[in-house]
Amino acid sequence: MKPNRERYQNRIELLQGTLDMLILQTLQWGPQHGYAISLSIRGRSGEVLQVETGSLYPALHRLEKQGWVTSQWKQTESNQHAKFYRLTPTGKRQLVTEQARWTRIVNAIAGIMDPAPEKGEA
Amino acid sequence: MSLWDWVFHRRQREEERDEEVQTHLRMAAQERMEQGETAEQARASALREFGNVTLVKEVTRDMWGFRWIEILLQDLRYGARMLAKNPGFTAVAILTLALGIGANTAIFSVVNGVLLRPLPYPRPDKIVCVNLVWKGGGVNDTLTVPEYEFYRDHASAFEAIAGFRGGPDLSIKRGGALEWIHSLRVSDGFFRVLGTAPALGRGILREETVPGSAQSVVLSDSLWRKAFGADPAVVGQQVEMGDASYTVVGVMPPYFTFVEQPADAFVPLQLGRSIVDTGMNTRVIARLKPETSLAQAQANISVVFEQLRRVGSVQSGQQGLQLVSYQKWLAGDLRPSLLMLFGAVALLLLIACANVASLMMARANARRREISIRLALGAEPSRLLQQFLAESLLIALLGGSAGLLAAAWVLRALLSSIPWDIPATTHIGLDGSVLAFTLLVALGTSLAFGFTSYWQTSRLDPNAALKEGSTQGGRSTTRSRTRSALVIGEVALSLMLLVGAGLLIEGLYLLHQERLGFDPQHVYTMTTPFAPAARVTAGQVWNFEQQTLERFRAVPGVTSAAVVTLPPLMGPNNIPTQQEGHPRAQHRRHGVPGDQSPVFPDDAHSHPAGPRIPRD
Repeated sequence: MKPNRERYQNRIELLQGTLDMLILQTLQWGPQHGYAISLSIRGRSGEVLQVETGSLYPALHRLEKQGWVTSQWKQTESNQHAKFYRLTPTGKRQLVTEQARWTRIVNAIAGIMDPAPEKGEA
Repeated sequence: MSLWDWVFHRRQREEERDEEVQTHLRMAAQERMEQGETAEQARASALREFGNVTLVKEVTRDMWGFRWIEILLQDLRYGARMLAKNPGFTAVAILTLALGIGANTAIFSVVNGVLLRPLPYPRPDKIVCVNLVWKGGGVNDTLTVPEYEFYRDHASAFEAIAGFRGGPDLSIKRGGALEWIHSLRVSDGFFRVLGTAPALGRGILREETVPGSAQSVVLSDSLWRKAFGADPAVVGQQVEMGDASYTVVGVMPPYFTFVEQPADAFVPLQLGRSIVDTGMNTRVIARLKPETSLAQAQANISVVFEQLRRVGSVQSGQQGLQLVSYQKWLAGDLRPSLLMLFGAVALLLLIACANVASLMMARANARRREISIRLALGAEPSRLLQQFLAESLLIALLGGSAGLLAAAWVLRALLSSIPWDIPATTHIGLDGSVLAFTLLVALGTSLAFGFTSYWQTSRLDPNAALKEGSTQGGRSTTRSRTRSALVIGEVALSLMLLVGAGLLIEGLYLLHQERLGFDPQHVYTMTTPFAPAARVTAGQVWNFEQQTLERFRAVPGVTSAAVVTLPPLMGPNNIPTQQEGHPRAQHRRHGVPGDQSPVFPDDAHSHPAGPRIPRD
């Protein structure tokens, strides 16, 4: 069991900063439950980014502990009982800082990879 | 999440988390069914996609924090189950430890009460006892009144100095009944030496120590409450005690007690120059000035002693004065015996530890398979160590609690049978520091066991152990070496204790065989609180004692009865006892009866079972 756990935790660490930002970004358009968040990230990334459940739920609980999201049990449109996560005001502020940081990193990396000044998005 | 939340909402959070995961799986399966998979297929692929459900749950829970408490609780639960599964081992281990820890706790309570806890006065380290040293090396802890006065007037090292002497037991009338109270004769400065001022009124004044001045009294708080209903107006009033009348001048605060000789009433020590007051019968204590060290004070008092010698008031055999810390003096001879006893019980605890450790080793051996499997499954050594520590912690805490119970019981027996003279109101009991001591000992032992067990199993090669199966053999050399070391240590320690105990018993036996010159069996003593006051003549005392003896002799079963001022082997100076009127009896010092404890003869028959007077 032990090695498995470490594999998961490594993955969380690899994705940590980015995954948190992606989740916060997804919640910007309204409260969502875990499954919808994973679908949304997958869909919006054009099926490129698969969010592992082993990373998603720990991340959600971590974000909640930090006060960036709150959760509430509600009915879904298909009448299922699900836990919805909602962005808090501090979460919104966090999203803004993370976006700014992300843009700086992307620009910096783009500057290295593609010296000619062009519009470079990941 | 706060610790509070964690404690009270953990269950609920776990349920919610489980439901959250289930919802996820349901939704994923439903979507696949909508894409045309069968219900079973859909559920299977949803599960596959999700991954290790238990692990996801665990990792999610780790995010809540307080993971270490979870692990600790888990380990403790597991440890408790293991202990419950081996009741024999558990009982033996706990009882062994209870013995060791109990003995240590009991002795530590005494050590704590007598040696460690400071006296209940401010700056107790500044209080000293003034003793006289003889040239032969003997030490007197009593001085004469003129000596005390000389030191009081000439020594500069003291903030206060006081003499005191046990006073008579006085009767006091309370609600129609007579009650006996203990009195202490103290000089002025007594309460200043002890750093405690009366709560009401004042202490004893110098004028009141002049012979013939009016009698005053300072009451203890308990006497003030018992006999005077805690009435503040009692200060200044006359009270009858014994057959005299005293003016109440002060009341001590409730927390004050005179440790050396607890008393209900403090009356002035009247410093006469009669033959009684020039006897060495006054104890002297002093408080050093705050900035004066013991060595400086000693130097000062030695100079003063030489002055006294020049005046000519020093017997030739006297070497000088010695200042001793009052606390140390109170502990007296108890100190080495207590420390020795403490060492002995520490050894006992070591033996108990060694016993339990070897028990645990035997059990760890039986658990090799379990541990090998856990190691093979990827358990980290540190996690195993935690597990062992949790288990030994449980044993040690249980052993410690049982030990505490044992100590409470042993202590009662110990205190009632203790042959030494323990300062009367020294508080010996299981207080906070004793509890802390026991806890510390228990934690120490648990660490020791935990590490031995771990150290032993951590060198396990899971492969070999599993292949070996249940057979014992192969790689057991290190284990047997450890076990041998334990056994050797145990035998050595036991031998030490045994020799010590043997010597002690030998000493006791010799003491028992010592010829006292009389047969102490069936002899009982009692004291009559007969206050010698000015109004009572010697003849009256004689008559009273004769009548008392007559009545005692009339009691069935009493073969003889006698009166003595100091029974043989009692009292501070071990005065030789002689039969009155015996041709060889001689009055040594001043030729004063009372100086040598004359014995009033019983009714002249020599009873075979009665105390025989030693031939001098």
